[in-house]
Amino acid sequence: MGMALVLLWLPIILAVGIGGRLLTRSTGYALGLLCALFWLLLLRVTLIAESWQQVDISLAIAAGALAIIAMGGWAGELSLAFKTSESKGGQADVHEGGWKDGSTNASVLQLANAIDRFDDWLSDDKLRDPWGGFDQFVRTVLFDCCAATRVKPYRLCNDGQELQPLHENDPNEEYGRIDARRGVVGHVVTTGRSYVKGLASSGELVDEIACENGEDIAWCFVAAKGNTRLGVITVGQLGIDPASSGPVLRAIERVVGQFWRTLVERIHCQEAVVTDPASGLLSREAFFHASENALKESYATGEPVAVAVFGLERLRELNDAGHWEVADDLVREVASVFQRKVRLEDCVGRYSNSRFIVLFRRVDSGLAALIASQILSRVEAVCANEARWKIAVQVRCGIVGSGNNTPGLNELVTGALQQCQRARTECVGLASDLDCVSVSGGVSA
Amino acid sequence: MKIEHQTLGTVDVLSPIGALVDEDAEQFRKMLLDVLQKPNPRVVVSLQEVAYFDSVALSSLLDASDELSDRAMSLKLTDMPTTCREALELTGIASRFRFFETVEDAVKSFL
Repeated sequence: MGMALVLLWLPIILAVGIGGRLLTRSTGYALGLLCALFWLLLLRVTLIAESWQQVDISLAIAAGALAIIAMGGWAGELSLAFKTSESKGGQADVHEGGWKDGSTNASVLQLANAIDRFDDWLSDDKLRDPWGGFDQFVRTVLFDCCAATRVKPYRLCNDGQELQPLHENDPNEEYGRIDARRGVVGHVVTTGRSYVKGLASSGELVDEIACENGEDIAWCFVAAKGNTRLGVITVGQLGIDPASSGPVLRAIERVVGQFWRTLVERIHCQEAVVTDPASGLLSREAFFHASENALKESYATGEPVAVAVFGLERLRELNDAGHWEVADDLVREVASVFQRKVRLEDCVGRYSNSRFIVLFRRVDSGLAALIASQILSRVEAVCANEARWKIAVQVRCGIVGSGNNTPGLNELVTGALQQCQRARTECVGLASDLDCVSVSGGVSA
Repeated sequence: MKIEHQTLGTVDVLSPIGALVDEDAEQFRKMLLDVLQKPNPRVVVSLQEVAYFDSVALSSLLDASDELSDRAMSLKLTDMPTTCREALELTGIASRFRFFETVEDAVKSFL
C-alpha cells in the first residue's frame, strides 16, 4: 500500500521535473487522472474484495482518486507558474491553449504576416518611390502588430545631424526635419538602444529628458546596419501594454530593422543597375526607360523633343593602349559637363563606351542645336588637354528633332546616331537634321 | 495662339499665351517687330504663360534685343518659366536680356 502511494506520485513529479515544458493545467489533470486510475488498480490488487463492498471505504477511495486528479491539475499550475517566472525578460509567455496574452498572440501573427507582405511589397515595383512607400508600410506594420499610432519614421541626413521624414516630399505630411542629437530621439540615435516610455529598463534619466523636452514619444527605436544608423522610428502611442510586451516590441524592432536594411540594399542594387559606374549617368537601358516615359508625356501635351548623341573619337585607343584609368577620368569629366549643362527635365545617359546621349524636352531641333553647341564647346574644352589625356580626342554631335511628327524613341536615336556619323564624315562638330555646324559655340542656321 | 498687347504708360507689354512654336512664333515675331518700329520703343515681354519656345521665338527675342541694343536699350523679360530661363542660360544668350520678376517691376525700371 505504501509503495503504491509513492509510485502514484512518481509520474507527477517526473512530469513537473522533466516534462515541465509541456505541462499545463489541462495536461496536469490528464496526468492526475492516469495516476488515479493507476492508484485504483493498485488498490484493486492489494485490497480484499470485501473492502470494496463497504460504502465508507468506497467513498474514501473515490475521494482519494479525485484528490489525485486535483493534485495533477495543481502540479500543472505550479509548473506553468514556474515557467512564467523563468520566461520574463526573455521568452514569450505561454498559456494553455495558446499565448498568455491575446494581444501578444495577435502581435506575433501580424508580425509573421508583415514578413510575408514585405517580399510582395518589394517585388511590387515600389522602388520608384521607395521611401514614401516604406513609410506607409512601416506605419501599417506597427499599427497591425501593436496598434501603434502617430508613427514617424525618419532617415538620417546631413552626416547624421538631422532626421528627415521618409515622406518628406509629401506636401500633406505634417511633420518636418528634426535634430538628430536632441531629446529622447538623440539618446536613441546615439546609443542605439530603444526607448519605451515608463519602462524601468529605459532609465529614469531618459524619461526625464522626454518630460523636459515635452516629447510625445511612447516608443522609439533605431534601424541600423552594423554600427551605422539608418534611421529612427518614433511612436506616439502604443495599443499594447509595454510592460508585458517587451519581447514582442523587441521582435518588431528587429524585423522592421531588417526590412529597412533590405530596402537599402535593394535600392543600392537598383542604382547600380540604372547608373553607369564610370560616368554616373544613366545606363543605356535606364536612359531608354526614362526617355520612353518622357517622350510619352511630351507627345501627350504636344511638346517637341530632340535627341542628341555626342561621340568621343579615339577614346577606344586609350582603352586599347591600357590607359583605361585615363579613359575613365576623361569619361567622368565629360559626364560632369552633362550633369551641369543639361536641365533636370531632360534625360542624359551613356549610350556606349564613347557615346553619350541626351533627350532634350520642349525644344525644336534649332534650339536643341544651340544648347548642344554650348555643351559641345564645354566637352571640347575638357578634351583639349592633350597632355593629360595622351591623345587628341575629337568630339562630334548629331541631333534630330521630333518636328511636328511623333517619331518613336528608336527612330530619334537612330537619326541622331546617323547625324553624329555625318558630323564625323564631314569633319564638323555638330550635325543636325536642319544643318551642319562647323564651329562649336554658335549655330549657323 | 493669343498674344495680349497692353500699353502701360509708354511701355508696350506683350504677353503671349501658350507655347511659342512654329506659326505662333512667327506671329509673335511680327508683333514684336511692329512694336519696335515705334520711334522710342519700350518693350516688356511677359513669358508667364509660355511653357516653352522654339528657335524661331528665340531668334525673335534675339533680333529684338539686337534692335534695342543698337539704341542703347535692352529687351526686358518677366515671369520667366524655369524651362525657358534654362534654355536661355544653356544657349549662353541669357546675358543679352534683362530679367524681372513681374511686369510691374519691369515697367518701373523705365522710370
